Amino acid sequence: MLDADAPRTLSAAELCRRCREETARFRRREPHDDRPCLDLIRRAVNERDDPCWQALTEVYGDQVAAWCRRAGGATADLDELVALAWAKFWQYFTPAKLAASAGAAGVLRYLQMCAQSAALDLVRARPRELPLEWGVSHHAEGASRDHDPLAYRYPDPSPTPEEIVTARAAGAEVRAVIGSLLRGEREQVLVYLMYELGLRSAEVQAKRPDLFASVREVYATTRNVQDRLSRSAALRAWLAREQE
Amino acid sequence: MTNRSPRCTDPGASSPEDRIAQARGEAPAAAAGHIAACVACQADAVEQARLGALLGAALFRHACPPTHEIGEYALGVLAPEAAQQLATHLLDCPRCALERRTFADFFKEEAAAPAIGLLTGLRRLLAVPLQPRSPALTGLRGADSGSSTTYAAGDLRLTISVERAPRGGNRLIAGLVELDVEPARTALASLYADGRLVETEPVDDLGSFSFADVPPARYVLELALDDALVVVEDVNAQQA
Repeated sequence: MLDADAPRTLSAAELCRRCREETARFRRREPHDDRPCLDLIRRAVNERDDPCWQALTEVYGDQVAAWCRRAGGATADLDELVALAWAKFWQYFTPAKLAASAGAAGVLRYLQMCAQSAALDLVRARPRELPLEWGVSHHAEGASRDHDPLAYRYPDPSPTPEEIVTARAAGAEVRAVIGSLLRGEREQVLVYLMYELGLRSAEVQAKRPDLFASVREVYATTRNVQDRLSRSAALRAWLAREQE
Repeated sequence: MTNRSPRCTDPGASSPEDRIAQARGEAPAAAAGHIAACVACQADAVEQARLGALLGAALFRHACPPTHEIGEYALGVLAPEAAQQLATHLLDCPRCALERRTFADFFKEEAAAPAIGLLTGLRRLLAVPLQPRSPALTGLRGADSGSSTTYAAGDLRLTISVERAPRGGNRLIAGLVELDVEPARTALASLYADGRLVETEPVDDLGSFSFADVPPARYVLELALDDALVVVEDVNAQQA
């Protein structure tokens, strides 16, 4: 155990060493002292002390990597996840949050959250698959692409990854245009539920039966919206750029 | 956009709505069969699918909160106003709700091996019902009001209500904690069935928590506060 005031006088390196020792005691379920670790965190978070920040990433590096491995699965780039998790902790774990946290355990909980948050960010960044089952009609009953003329007659409607990136980048502009072209609550709700939240048509109807008496009405409204949007000069210009 | 305008081989076999359904992978078999065989109808469906996909790329989840906010919500450290907004969004957005559950499960795994000093030494208080459950409400099926019971444990009052979940046959268990003192900063509510942890939810700054979608069952609810563990031994969510 340390003297009551000892941690605040220690160098980053010494604080790091003490923090490692106390963390090892914590893991062995022995009596331990939170203060070296808390002071290391305090200096890193409140004072943005670089050596302490480095020490913090050393002390908890293995733990964060383990969390990232568990959160991201085998396919994720572990180094990328770990870097993203620490970046989130650096950005969002403010002095106010440190003051409100329940000791070192609370801080580690936040760091653990950052690992899962990083993993979810990577999932969100993946291109979204279309809710299409073209393959069913094209390749039903065991028909192979080699012998199914329909398989090559039409282009794959899926936007390319580059188109997805462009669409996301152009989002604010396009959203403003779309918003200006919608008529009434029904269309606004449809666009929100169907395109923003990604609900299927039946889910849209179930969510708002007051606006859509049947799934057929969802399809009809979708058709109206998409037809109108496709006639918009601004959106046509955007689509043309997408299709170049 | 297509330059050619082929004609439908069987006008009336598929409507514009059918082709939207096909574009979304939801068309009934008869319409899908025609669309698969008809150059004109499939071209229309492909165009609708492409337009829908591009709109989705521009709009999908653009208004969803960032993942760290959902994580902070799951941890119970999000500011009350932001937590309220996020809770409202979670009711609509299944993907954010799934992410919140992912966080909860992630934390739950760690909680299975409690950290030293986190929960040890807590007072264990058994919550006692203040009033018997109203016979008029108990067993009501499909009633919007569901049923609620208020419990007392030391200086704490805890009201638990059980309702049908919005979809499916599951239950929504909501709770409100009232303390005579400042609410705990790190309160967590955990639901157990047959001795197994089912779900853990943070108690927000207003003292509310909810388990939005749990199977009908009899549960034990534990409320971990800073200095005490409050236990409700029987939360009957078999009927709502």
